Amino acid sequence: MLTPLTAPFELVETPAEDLDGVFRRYSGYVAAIALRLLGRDDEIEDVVQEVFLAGTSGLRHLREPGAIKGWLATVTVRIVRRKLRGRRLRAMFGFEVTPDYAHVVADASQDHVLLIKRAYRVLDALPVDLKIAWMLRHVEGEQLPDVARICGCSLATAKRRIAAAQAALDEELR
Amino acid sequence: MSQVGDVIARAVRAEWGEDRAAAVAVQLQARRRRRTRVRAVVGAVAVVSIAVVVLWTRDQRAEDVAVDATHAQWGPSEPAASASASASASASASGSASASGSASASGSASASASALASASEARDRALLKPSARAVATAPQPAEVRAVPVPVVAGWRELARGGDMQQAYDLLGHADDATTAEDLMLVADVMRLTSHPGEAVAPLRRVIDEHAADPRAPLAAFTLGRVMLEQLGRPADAADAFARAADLAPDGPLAEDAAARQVEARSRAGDAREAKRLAIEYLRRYPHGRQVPLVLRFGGIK
Repeated sequence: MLTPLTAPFELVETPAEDLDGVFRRYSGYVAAIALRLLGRDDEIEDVVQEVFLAGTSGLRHLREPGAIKGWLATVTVRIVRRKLRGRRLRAMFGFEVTPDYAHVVADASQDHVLLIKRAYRVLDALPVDLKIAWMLRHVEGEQLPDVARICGCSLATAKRRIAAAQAALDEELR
Repeated sequence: MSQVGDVIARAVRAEWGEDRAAAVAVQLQARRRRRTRVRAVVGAVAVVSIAVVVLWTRDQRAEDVAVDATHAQWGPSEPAASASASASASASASGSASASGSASASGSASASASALASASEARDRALLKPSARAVATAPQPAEVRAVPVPVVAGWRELARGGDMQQAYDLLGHADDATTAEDLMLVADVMRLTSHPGEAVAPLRRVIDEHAADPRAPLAAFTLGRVMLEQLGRPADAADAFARAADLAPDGPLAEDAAARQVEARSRAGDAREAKRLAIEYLRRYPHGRQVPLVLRFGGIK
């Protein structure tokens, strides 16, 4: 799994009470997930703020420092899901322009840029939950139980969603 | 991991430097402060609202208790609503401000099947356990203040003070109840201590021995209620309601007595008579308060 924010993920001993420290260490992680799920950069700051606002009370109640990352991922996915659904609703009424995913791609060949744009378009056409499950599994590299936990569904449902999204991608990208 | 996912993971990266994180942190602090302020304001508004509701409810309860206690001790002084109109009118007609007057009023108050029944129950409760504070603050009519208060607490004083059970215990030795007021008070004691059968005799004595007394129609109406609701004797109840109407054909109880007569006849199984009485009621009171009750028990669709 290649990610620009690998190092902070290992600092799981961060005390939940130190909210500023949690923000410093995990805001990049939240931003990375949000960017890949949303496919656009202009909403990232808003998502990060909402995650740390909404997640503050939950963070205070976490007993295991190692659970911080998972908790933030869950909150992030919840907020991103809401934004994706809102975006889809606005698009139905013509208030949302389809994002140009090339803007979020860095250091990639032209072929990969085209591949990423096509993949995002396919994923955008799928139900939001399918897209999120697939992204968590195949982009963020989460294990299946973690995908199910973050998505708030059963393991079987998570597998079904990932498989459905993969089938759609295979169909369109072959 | 899928190949496409791997490509996305490598190529799509958030440009999340320290400057951007610091800027977001500042905005986050501002939002937290704003949210704290909003929560404080909303919480304060909620606390104030709850306090206002609690205080208002407490005042209303105290006011209700005071009104009930006033009715219990002196009889209703003014008609507050259509449901208690007949009760207050009858108490005024009696010209008495004694507990028996109020008990009679409670009898007439139940003429309207449900609303009046609840009003009557509230007065009965007040008769049994009047609040000392409420009694102290209750307005007292001038003529009542003129009545001398007995020094020795006999059954009358106990009954007027709401201690019906003790009044009932003493009542076994009291054979001096001869006035309409005393007889009505005896009936109240019997009714409110769950001895409805023993309330029949004093009520009949008021009707028979004091037919000219303004309380006689009320006694007849109360007797009808006791027969119908407590003793399960609807035929006798119908007779009592008929007597109440006869004693004061144009009195405030006449309409309710006529309606309850329909109900009693219906409950006694005399459907034909109930229908006849219902038609008579509708002719006399085409827009009466008890039209729905009369239609139902009169079997008229």
